[in-house]
Amino acid sequence: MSNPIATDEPDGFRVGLARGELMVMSCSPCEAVLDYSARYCTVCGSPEIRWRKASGKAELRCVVEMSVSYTLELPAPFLIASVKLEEGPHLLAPYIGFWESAYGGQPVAAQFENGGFHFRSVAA
Amino acid sequence: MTGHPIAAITGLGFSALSRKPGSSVRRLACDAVRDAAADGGLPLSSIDGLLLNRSPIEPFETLPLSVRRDLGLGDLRLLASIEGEGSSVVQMIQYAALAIQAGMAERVACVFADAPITANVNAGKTFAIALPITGIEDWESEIGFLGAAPAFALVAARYMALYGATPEDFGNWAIAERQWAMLNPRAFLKKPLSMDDYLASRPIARPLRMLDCAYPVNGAVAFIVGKVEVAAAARPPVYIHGMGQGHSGCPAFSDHEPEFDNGAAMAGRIAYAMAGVGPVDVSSAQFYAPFSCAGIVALENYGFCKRGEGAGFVSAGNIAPGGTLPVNTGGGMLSGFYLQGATSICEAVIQTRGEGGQRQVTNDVVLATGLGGRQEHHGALILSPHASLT
Ligand SMILES: [Zn+2]
Repeated sequence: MSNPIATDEPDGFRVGLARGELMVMSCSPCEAVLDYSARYCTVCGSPEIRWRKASGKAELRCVVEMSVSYTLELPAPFLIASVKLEEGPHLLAPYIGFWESAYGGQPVAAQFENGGFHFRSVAA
Repeated sequence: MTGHPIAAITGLGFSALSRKPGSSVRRLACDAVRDAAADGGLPLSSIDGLLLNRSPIEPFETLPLSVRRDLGLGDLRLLASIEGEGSSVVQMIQYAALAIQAGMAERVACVFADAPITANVNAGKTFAIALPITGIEDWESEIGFLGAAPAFALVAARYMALYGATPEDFGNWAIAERQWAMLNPRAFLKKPLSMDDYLASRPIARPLRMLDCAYPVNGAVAFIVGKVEVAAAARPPVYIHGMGQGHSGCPAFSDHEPEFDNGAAMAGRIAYAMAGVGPVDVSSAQFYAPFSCAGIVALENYGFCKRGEGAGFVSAGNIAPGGTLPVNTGGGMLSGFYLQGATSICEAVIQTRGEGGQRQVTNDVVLATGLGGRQEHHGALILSPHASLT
């Protein structure tokens, strides 16, 4: 962690994923939800940031297909989505579906299956 | 608004440019500086400032400050390594111009050098490092979002989602750059490119195809920045009338669109205002566009069309030879060569001097830009052969 968040749990995002929960950052004093790059509250300036469970509901922004394999662990092709979480932050995450039928504005949801975390489209 | 130029670019030099491994970055840089000094018509010893820029993914030692010793330069009044990712070449020229205007130095060499192609590794692998996007440390590499290509694929995919752009729109950008490259002796890819060829090129990070991506080479380009008074008497003058930077503070949050609201519009606004010109006055635009989608977004951010209209502007033929706004007249990064910030700026200097040969277009006001990272760092220059733009 080269730029840890001033919280009791700098890596709260991954700690949350490990127990099957998607987390967002929020300010302790004013409770504003922050984007994942914030290290101070962008509303009140406080450095006290904590992790809070997100609903997992999101809107699809777009999907990129990783078409070339760079590592053995992640053979191509696989999909990565940019989503806008219900709470506000944008997130990049694995996406299960088809590149051709993914479109911006589609409702998606975070899912935890077989030890993995990804987004999938859901009925509106 | 329009006043005296800030400074001038009085020398342009190249090392050998190659797709094969060869000289070190350090050696390439020296070759280019020597060539630029000779081009400026003054001895190397007259250089009193040196600014260096290496690829942001290479360690400092590949282009250390001691390059000045390789060149045999005497006491220097300015020496630094500049790191602003792909906006660095524009930044070097800006800082050199400011130093000259303030009287700190008189003749500053600015050099970019890189050698991404090595014996064992191709350029695609060299550039396959994760760019931070989400703000979650190391998350991009964890999910396999490696390299610049997917970061820009996100821009292209979001652009398609919002504005309905088609693969052909991106193809038209690639084809226009190829048409320009065919007129540039220094360009690397000069075989005619059809839309069928483009559509058949293999996916790299869909929607990006191979032919949407920059074509890296090993090499170096150097620029000598000098005083306005000296430029008037030397080579065809290249006056710097406007300079701007923009570094995006657009958050990845809610309805913000960090893929498009990226700092370029700010860099352009500042540079245009300083020069007392606007997009309508620009004779040619030399954009830092490592992927076709970045060029389309740049057209919008620098004021040539409204948001969402860049793709249509390209597909209508505006940027190609014979179009209303010649863009990347050397073939750009896709078909000319990719040397990060040097690609667009060297073509801007060549055009401003009127030395473009078959590809020369009108050159009263030339816009040249730099872009860094996943598009969050921008620099712009307004160049002209005229000492006054009024
Ligand atoms: Zn707060």
